[in-house]
Amino acid sequence: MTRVLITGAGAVSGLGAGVEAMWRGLCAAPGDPPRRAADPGARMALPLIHRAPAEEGPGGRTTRLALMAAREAVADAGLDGAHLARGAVVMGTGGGDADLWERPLDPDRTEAPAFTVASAVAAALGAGGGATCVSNACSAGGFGLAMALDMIRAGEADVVVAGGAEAYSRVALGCFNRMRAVDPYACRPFHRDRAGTVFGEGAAVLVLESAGHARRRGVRRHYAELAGSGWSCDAHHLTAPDPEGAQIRRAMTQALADAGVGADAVGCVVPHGTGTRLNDVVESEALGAVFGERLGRLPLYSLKALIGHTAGAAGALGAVAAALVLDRRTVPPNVPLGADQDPECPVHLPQGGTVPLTGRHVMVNAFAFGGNNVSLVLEGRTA
Amino acid sequence: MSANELVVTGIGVVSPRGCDPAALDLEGAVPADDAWFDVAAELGPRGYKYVPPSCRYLLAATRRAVADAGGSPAAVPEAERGMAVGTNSGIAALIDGMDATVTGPGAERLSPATAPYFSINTLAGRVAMDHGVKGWNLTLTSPRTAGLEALLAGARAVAAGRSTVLLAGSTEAALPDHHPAHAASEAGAVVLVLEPRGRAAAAPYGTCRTAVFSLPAAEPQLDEILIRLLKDAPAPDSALLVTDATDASPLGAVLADALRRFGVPADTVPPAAGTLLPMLHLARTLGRPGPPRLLATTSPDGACALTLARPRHLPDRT
Repeated sequence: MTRVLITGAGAVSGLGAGVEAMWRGLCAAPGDPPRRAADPGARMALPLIHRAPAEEGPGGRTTRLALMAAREAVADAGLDGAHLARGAVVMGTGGGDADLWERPLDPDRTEAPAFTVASAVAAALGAGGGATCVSNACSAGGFGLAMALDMIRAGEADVVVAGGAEAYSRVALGCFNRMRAVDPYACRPFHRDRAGTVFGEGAAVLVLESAGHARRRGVRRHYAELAGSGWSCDAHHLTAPDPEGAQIRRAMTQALADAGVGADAVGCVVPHGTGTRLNDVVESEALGAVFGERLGRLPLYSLKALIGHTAGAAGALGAVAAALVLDRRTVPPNVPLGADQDPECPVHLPQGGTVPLTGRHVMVNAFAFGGNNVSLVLEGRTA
Repeated sequence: MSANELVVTGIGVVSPRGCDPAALDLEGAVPADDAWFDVAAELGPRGYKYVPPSCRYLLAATRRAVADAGGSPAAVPEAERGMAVGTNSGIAALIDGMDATVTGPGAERLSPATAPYFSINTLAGRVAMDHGVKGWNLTLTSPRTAGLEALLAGARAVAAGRSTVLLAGSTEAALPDHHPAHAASEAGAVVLVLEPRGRAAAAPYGTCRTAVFSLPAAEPQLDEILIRLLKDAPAPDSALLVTDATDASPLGAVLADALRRFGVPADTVPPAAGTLLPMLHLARTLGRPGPPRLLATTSPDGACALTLARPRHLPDRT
């Protein structure tokens, strides 16, 4: 089977713009609280958000975040126009450019299609191999990467610029408020008092490339290999996970099988972990079923505690974090939970300092409304 | 022809243009309001009050497609059922109404029963709940192309072993009244059931094969793309481009020129606001015996999708 390498990465989130800013933020674990959205139309009890530093310019905010990450990833990979002309783009986003399709408070603003994120990235990069916008809600970025993996394996493209992006959406936040799914303090995955999630803005893009193509153009270094993915659908409830967790277990085991490794090869997991009460328990139990007695000592890196739940970008930002963990052989410290960790979530969240990575694989989970589940397995370099 | 090749074994359509795939009236514009749709007749008297129109259409089209396929999706384990849906404006009016509530009386006045549908993937998620689609579920949203793209993404997932049976389609609902493109709104849904030829019990309608690309970057590779798409297939007699008039859209002109080089004459019809119209044409093409035909659509942002539809043969051609 064709090996698929991560030869470039780009990211923007509440930690700042750029992959290095992200890594510094992960290692510092500042745990800054969310802020109230600067939106006079946000008439809701908890208009909380972790904002990302989107560049000014034309187009919707999600697209601008996506372009920042995509340009960084392409430059990082050293791709030129000829490579990109045959390359494809897959971008995950839950709501697209929500600021362009939600009701305009500015009467002079024109309305525009919402889901042009992928095509805008393709146009900006000069990528001719197709532009797919996948909107599997909070798993969209993970599915974007997984689809790109399958595209390369199927021989449809040698290079795919793939990831996810999400910006503030007044309607999404309003609906989460109405569903009592927003934590009033912070995004606190696996915390005993967690009361919901807190959204964050962000984008993450990876350059995925067949090993043969990378070799032919002289790539000397890659972050990691995207070794496998597993997909499933709960088909249980529109918003709540199946409490049995059967389908998220299947996504994880299928991803391991697709990568050709056993659970014991995994040295770190970037969980979906949103801070929603039931979701974190179900994911903890599913992780326990997959990793067995190792659960209590397998390091988890709980990214959303730091940057909020970036929805359609979450799986892709998780994949960037995983690629960096493998690249630097280091698991960053989690935002401290201490004695406040929920005993119903007996996962291992290293705190207080970095820990060395053991093992060559990192798993990333991304689950969503609609029961859409995807797990990714990344494999580190051999030397 | 291989036993793994996907064939279309069921077609479900609900549209103001008709519900019989072979008899769809695809000329001109039709009202995109909800009056044409009889929810009780399609879905039953209860349980769908808070389900948005585009989801009702998708549910109804799926039921029709599954029944048309002889119920074959239900014959495989739930984990072997996959679904890919294209939609662009499926929840636009819903979002608009929610936004009026949030910016007006406030989010507390949102309906908790409707709130989950702010997320566009819940349209397909609701169908998954009704039909036990546990293999996987994709919602694609690029303007105009996402319906045809769903065929490609779905077939790729099946080829990768992610499911055995595929439900692929498109659903749309009317844009808000004040939206500048409201007059071009679409309403309705198309769903196809696709399964490997080797396991298809129902007589298949035919096959379809899709490529996507972005112009202008892909223009130098267009011939290569067409050669790959048409490989090992009978040459299509004609093509239909769902695209802006060629004088206004260089994308349509570029595509039409490329098809001419391959000896395929192309007609052009104007696009609608969503992703549905190309799928309605595909449903009608597959619904009638006939020669292979290319169906394409382009979006002003450069995205293009091209599907080779191969209906079952005309009797005098077999």
